[in-house]
Amino acid sequence: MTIPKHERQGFYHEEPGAMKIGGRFQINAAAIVAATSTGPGWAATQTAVGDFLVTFDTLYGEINTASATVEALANNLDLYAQVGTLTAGAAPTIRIMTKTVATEVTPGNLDWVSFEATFRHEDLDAV
Amino acid sequence: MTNPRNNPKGFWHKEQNLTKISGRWDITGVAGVVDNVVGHGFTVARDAANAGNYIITFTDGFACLLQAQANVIADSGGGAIDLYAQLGAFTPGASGACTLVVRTKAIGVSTDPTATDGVCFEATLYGEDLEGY
Repeated sequence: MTIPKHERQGFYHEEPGAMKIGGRFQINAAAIVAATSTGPGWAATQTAVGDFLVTFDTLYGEINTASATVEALANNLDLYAQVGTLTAGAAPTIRIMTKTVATEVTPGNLDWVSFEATFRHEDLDAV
Repeated sequence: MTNPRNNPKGFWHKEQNLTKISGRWDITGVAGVVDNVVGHGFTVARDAANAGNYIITFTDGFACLLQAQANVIADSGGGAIDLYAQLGAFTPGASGACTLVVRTKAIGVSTDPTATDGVCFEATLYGEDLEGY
């Protein structure tokens, strides 16, 4: 038996009307592209080795910030995530690169890439 | 033409009933020894068997990790240190059994931060175990 908490949903922030979208996608070595993911509102594709494009399904006029982190199965693995171009618009995108030193490298099979982005100026016509 | 929604302040999210837990810990003395834990809803301990591996244990139970970010707070050596944060495994579970590993790494080797350094993180989770309330 559980009792729903009926708490107000969302994260409070000084910016009114901001939207935070986060998620993570898992690498499937066989398919090369991200096969498993958590969180709605976006889709990830792999555009090159160690290079991913996350495309959001809602129009936003501004991307405030974005960050990404690699989630690796192996302990001693030199791999980190770096955010590239942030493009606001009808289908906003963020570029995420996974790198070893300065070279783009695709994470290993079943590793994850985790990200979060904050948007403003949502297209209310689409809501 | 758009119609303002008069939303309350905050971040709207497409997932409902998310929980965001964030915090940090500092290293003030011996490398790898956790000090000054800031934040609520978690405890953190260094994995005794693996340098640079820190196990965050969430106070509540969660079924899924939506996303998480971690960063090294680098202050030692005047900031001129090679150290970054990487996530390890997330383990869903009940209260006290849900964990997330954060690693701190120098190139490919998991390495403990030294004095005056620290680690900060933010995790978004869902599927909270309401039995704990």
